[in-house]
Amino acid sequence: MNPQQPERDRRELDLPGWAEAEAALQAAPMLGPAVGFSRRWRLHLTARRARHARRQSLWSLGLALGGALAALAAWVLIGPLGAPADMAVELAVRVAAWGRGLDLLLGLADALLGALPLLPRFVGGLWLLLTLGWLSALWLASLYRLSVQEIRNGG
Amino acid sequence: MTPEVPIEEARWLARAREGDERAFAQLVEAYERPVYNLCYRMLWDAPEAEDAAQETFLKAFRGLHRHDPDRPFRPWLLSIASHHCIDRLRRRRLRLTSLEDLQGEEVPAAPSPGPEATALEREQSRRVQQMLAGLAPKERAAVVLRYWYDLSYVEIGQALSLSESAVKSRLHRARRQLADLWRAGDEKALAAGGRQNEPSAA
Repeated sequence: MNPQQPERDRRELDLPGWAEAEAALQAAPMLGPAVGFSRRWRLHLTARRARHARRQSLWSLGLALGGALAALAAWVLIGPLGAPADMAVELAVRVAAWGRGLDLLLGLADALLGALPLLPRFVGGLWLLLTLGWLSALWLASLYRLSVQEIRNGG
Repeated sequence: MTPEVPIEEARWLARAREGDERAFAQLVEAYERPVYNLCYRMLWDAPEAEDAAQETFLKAFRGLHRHDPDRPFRPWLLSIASHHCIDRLRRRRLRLTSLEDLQGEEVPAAPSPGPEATALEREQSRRVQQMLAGLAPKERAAVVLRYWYDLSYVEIGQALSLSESAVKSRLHRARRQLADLWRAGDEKALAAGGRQNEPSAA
């Protein structure tokens, strides 16, 4: 016991029965385990490690079995829709087709973007074409009027 | 102020921290008695105390990286043992094991009992255990750490995750209860003695 016993401890010595109880506590010996405790501890440690390793391998086995069962269940459920290999091939073909379509679109977009600098010249040519077309239409209308309508009128 | 860690113990600790099982076995040998005694005083069941002490050392070995090398090993180890025993006592209470089931437990032999270990000493030991069994787990741990290991209030607080004032108040309560239990034991013994001395009715 600490020699500098606090005041409260001393006051508790006045409690009836406490002095005897404290004396009994102080007289009680430090008990020891049976001989070979340290050796038993090492055995305990080895056993615990073995148990841990066994538990880990059981978990791994359980996970592997669970995965296999899940795959089997998925195959059984999807089975009526077609063979898994065929479905995989079909999926691959579709993905490839989507890839090709996307590639084409990207190429087209690229070409259009490349042609943007030529647009003003193209617009100028278009105007010329429209003017010539308009004049040609006017000429053809005049010819039609002078020839077909005059004959119909008996001219 | 931190008490000095013995050089040999510091060496074992350093090696055990690197996973050296043999070095930790040296620590087990050095502390088997205090740890076992704490477990026995807490649980009052020799096989369970052995198991709890083994578990304490296993926990200490696994959690050695959490131990501050500048602090003494013994209070840290006793703290693990105390918490482990408190948990066991709580589980035991959940299993509704009555104290009466443990009344017949034989107190194991003291370090050097020899032939002079008298019936009176055994009776005294039994009475001490009965008194301790009447306390709540944390109070019991505080009393054991105070009277068998001479730990200060601060050290008991660190071991049991309590403040210093909480330790003082728990010990105060425990002492009152122990005094009551001692008196009750006296009265019971007197009554039993009186009955033995009564003349038979026949």
